[in-house]
Amino acid sequence: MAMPSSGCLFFSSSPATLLLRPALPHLSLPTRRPPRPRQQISLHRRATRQGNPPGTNPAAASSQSSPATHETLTDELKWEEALPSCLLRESLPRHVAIIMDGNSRWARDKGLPVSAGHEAGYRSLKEIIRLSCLWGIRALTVFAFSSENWFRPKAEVDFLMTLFQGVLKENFDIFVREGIKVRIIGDSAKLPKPLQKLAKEIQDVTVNKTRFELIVAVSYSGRQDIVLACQKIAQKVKDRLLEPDEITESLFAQELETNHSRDFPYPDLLIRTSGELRLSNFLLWQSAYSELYFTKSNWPDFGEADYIEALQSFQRRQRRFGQRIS
Amino acid sequence: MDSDYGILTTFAPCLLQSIWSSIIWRFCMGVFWCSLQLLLRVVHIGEEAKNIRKIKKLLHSLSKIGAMNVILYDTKGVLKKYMASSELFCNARTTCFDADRRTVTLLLHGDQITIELLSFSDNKEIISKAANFLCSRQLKSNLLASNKIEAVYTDTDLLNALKMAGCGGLQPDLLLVYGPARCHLGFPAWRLRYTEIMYMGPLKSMKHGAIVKAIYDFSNRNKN
Repeated sequence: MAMPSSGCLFFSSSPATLLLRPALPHLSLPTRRPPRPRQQISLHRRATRQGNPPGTNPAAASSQSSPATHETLTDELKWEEALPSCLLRESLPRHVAIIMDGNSRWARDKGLPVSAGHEAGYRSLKEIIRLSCLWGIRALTVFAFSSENWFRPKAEVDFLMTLFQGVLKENFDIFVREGIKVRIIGDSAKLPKPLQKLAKEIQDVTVNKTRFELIVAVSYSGRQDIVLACQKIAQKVKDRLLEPDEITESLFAQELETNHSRDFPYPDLLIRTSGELRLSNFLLWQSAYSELYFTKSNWPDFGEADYIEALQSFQRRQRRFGQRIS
Repeated sequence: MDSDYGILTTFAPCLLQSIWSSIIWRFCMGVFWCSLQLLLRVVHIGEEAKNIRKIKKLLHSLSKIGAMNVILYDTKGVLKKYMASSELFCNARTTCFDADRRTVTLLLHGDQITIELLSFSDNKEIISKAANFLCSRQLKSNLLASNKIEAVYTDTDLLNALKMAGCGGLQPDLLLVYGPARCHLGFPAWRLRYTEIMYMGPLKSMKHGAIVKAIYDFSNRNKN
């Protein structure tokens, strides 16, 4: 079988260009306000019925008559208005996974160099992260670089690694400021040393952030994830922490790379762009109950409208079943 | 044909499927045949798996198209129970079970088709068993060796362990999902790496033409 063509997180064309290019729009996340107290339900029925926004302090707001109340109401309504009316907050997926495919095809279709496709793909990713935070999705896992992508020409691989490093550096402060926990999964030993160091640093600094989780799969293989889980379990057996016949499915699942996320280890919705209908070695174990959504849009074209459509599709299917499949 | 196809899908999807099944696929069979060395997998959730009549119809459709190897998967293992009672295959000319009664070879319409039945237990439980097997082997090696060997496993090691545990079959090329959920519902993860996944709707609405179209679309796709 041929390797996946794309699914790489590609940014501007060279490190020098990164310095000269105008600053890319930063993530700008809405400030979350605490919900109003119960006695104000008649005025804020919509706001309280849908529950507290995730990550907020559930402490009661100030009284109805104070000037701060009006400010709180306005801000709450703004936050609610941020969610498109066609989406229901209570049935949004908590964890979305995306195979970002189609950067090269997008560039080729437009007669542009591949680097332009990767740059456009980066803009799409930033927008999707922003929207996910805005709408209350708690975790986003993106497939940036597969283990099979190492077989690409060395020059291209080196270029990609440099770009990825640039992106992490550029958004480091934003992740910290906005409360985004960043996690890099995959075989990090194959990454260039500076990138390994930077990835470790950003993970260490954001480990306690709780507002949103961004998991980036780089040099990742779903099969290798399973093999490494076996290896970790074997080490525990060797260290006499475990007997072989005590190995269970749940124990196994705890050793997967995605298990660091205790609250959202498995994606509820898995999106793949560019029209391909495969998982391509991404989250093979973790996606057992993920709703699969395949769209023909190439990743650089995947914007708010496409995201809303994917989320609506998820919600329609959930309503049809009456309960979440888990 | 493309413009006709566009109109027909708007106004008469059922008619289109009938056309596919009765006329178009006959012309395309030659194209299908050379690329149809594929395994198809059908997912049913518990209730749908009890619809034996539809499953038999599905198998006949697949056999007519030329599928040689088929995996039938349902989460609860209902199909395995039916296989044990041979209810699925009462009209087949030849039924030949393999040793573990998980795979059966049938002769349908003069064509041989091998069917493997899988359930949820063949996914995560089997991988856990495979991990158990690897760890046990590692322990034995360490007992015998003077220097303890670090456990470093490869894909091949796990694949062999999966075979020992009873689930190391081929990877399907195409996965047809029947049921209300667009999920693979725990199909053996190890075998799903590059499988094309197509959602077909509820099993009760299964049509031969839709299967033909799915395979035709699959055969025309660019693989990457």
